[in-house]
Amino acid sequence: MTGFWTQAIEVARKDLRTEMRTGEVFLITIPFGAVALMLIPLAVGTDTPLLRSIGPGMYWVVVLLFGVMVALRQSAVEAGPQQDLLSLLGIDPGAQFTGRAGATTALLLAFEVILGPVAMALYDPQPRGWPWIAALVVLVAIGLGLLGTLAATIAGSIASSALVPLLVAPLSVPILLAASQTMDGLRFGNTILGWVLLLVTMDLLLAVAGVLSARPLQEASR
Amino acid sequence: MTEPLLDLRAVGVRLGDTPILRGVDLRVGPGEVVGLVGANGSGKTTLLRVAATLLVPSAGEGSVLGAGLKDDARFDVRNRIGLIGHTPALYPNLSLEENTRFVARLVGAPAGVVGAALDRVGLAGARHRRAVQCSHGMQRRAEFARLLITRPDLVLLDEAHAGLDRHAADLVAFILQDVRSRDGGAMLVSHEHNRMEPLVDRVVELRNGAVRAWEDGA
Amino acid sequence: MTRSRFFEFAAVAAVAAALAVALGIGEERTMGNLARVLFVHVPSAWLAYLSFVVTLVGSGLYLRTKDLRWDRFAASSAEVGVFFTTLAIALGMIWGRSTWGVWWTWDARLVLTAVMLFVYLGYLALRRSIPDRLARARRSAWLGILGIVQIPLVHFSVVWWRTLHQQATIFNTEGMQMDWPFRSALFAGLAAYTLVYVVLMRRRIELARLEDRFEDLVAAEEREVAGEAVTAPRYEGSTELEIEETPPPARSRRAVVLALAIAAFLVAAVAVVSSQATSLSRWGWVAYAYTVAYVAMLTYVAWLAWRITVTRRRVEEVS
Repeated sequence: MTGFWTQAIEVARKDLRTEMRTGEVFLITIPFGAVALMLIPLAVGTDTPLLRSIGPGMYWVVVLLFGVMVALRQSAVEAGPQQDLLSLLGIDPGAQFTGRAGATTALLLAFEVILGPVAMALYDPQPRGWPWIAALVVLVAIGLGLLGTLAATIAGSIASSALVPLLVAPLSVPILLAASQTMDGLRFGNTILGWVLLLVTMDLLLAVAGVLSARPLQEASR
Repeated sequence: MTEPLLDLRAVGVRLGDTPILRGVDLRVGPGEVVGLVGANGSGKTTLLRVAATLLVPSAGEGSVLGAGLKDDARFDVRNRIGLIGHTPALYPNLSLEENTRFVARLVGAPAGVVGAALDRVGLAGARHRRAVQCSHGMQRRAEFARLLITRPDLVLLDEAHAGLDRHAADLVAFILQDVRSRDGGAMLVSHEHNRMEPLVDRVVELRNGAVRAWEDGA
Repeated sequence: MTRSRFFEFAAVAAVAAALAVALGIGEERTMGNLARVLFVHVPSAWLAYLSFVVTLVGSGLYLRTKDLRWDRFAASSAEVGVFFTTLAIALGMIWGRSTWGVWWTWDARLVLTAVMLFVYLGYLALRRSIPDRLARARRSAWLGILGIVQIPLVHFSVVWWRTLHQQATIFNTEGMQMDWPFRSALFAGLAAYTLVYVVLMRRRIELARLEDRFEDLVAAEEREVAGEAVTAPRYEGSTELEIEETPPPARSRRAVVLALAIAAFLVAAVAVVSSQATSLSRWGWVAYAYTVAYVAMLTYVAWLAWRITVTRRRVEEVS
């Protein structure tokens, strides 16, 4: 029998390999996010001070709303037979959750990193404090990856595609606030530690909740 | 008297208001292979899923490999159960080799078994092909390769002969022989009675949600 | 010399000649050396538009004739078009940053080009998501036509929106003196890059043909269940698997290298975009633009070649 982390890593590796073949995130979701970033200024106006001030906020909104689609990509949700297979191989449901959330987090990181320069070019926001921003991007990816995976598990494989965004969006308010407030704080020199701690706490909480609820949720889906 | 591998007593299953199984009594002992027949919709697949612990019965008692059907202990015997359903449990965008290797790594089998197992089932030449690009029969064979690696004590085959050519059908016999030799048990569903009968020790029929003795040709 | 070799040599020679002309002529009067960026930017923009028109024509011809050759033609042109559109936008951004000091401006032409890029990314994504070949050909042909037909509407809406806002466009080249050395360098660039387009198209069509061939072979095998890839199982003897002693195959390093290259590119892109103080000399900007153009083209050619090799191997494996 293999250990928790071996199982989690294998599941994540399988998810990422599938993404490499299908390109659901890289060919569909990321361009969609870029379009969204481009559409906003068309609607609200393009004068530089305005865009500069709304830029970071718009970036995070797009990351949250479109990031849900990363968590929802087809390969992230096991269909019936594959789920049965994993169960009958004796794979710890917590390890399955961890692996799936890990793969989603990695893809969300790529999503954020690619959309970053796009937002920089379109909005010219002139952010400060790059090391903190890098940490922020990672924390948001983890939080959203966990939240999306958890919501997809709760919704089950049948109901997920339309339902999950509704489940995730309200719960992601702390992530959105923490991300945009940290950016503001860095810019105007306010303290940001509280927001970063809030994000870390949320990530930890979601990780524990996801692993603990994995078994009951999996059995409930049958 | 040795303990049966599968022991179902008055098992009933409802889906919503519809009863699928009611009062199923069935035992599979060590070294025994049971054939399961029945009309479409008679609950054969449901029965297999109960036996695989994937579905908890709403009525009745029973045990699988010594674990109660409703106990948490069933989670610990799951890795000794091998189920092949009628929809292949393969990841469509991974190659046959990657699918098999995924399973081998998850159960901690040595890396060399992947090639050996695919060779055994006659898929060595197609191992780099994605599952989605394979015919149903080939996907079936890849699943048999999985059974050769995991070697479960209780083998459950749904539609055991669907889409299989003569060679692959021999493969079913081979796997059942392997299970028997290890004192394991098996239950298989098949609509091809001619092919099934030489493989099994006895045949039972599901009718009206319960197990009956099967009368050939009835 | 085969015909495709001939085209490849001609393309390389033409690009080299165009480069020589572009760097050899004297400074443009108003823009100075920066004008040389236009000799790669304008041709890639022209090819972006050309390839989408070709996709439109290919899609229409497919719907008329139902000949899959036209489908491959349209699909290939769309992919090459996405490449040139991306390149044109990247070079346009470099041009904007070097002349105007901003990476992006809400200029009508830029917005329109970006919209086109996304329309065709959608086209390519649609193709990937439909497994059945005939359904894919028909649906993407319709998208190929609708995508282009609505481009003028996008164009007018954006232009109208811009004129209401009374903003000067950056890409206004009317002030420039189009004297003959400048014009000749531009035409040399157009000719050379059109040849590059032809080479890329030939390769991409070859790839599409191989992919179709592979699908044919697999479909044929579906009909007669046991193909040659499937051999009789070996079920005699012991049921234990004899474990092969061969070491696990060396992990392909290509994927790692590719991932590292992409990561390095992203880091570089982020670094360049984020350093607001970037100030290259005029020649520096020219070198930057030409490097981006050539590296992009070489990467795309290499990627195409790799896909062709892989697909050919798969075809050989099956047949």
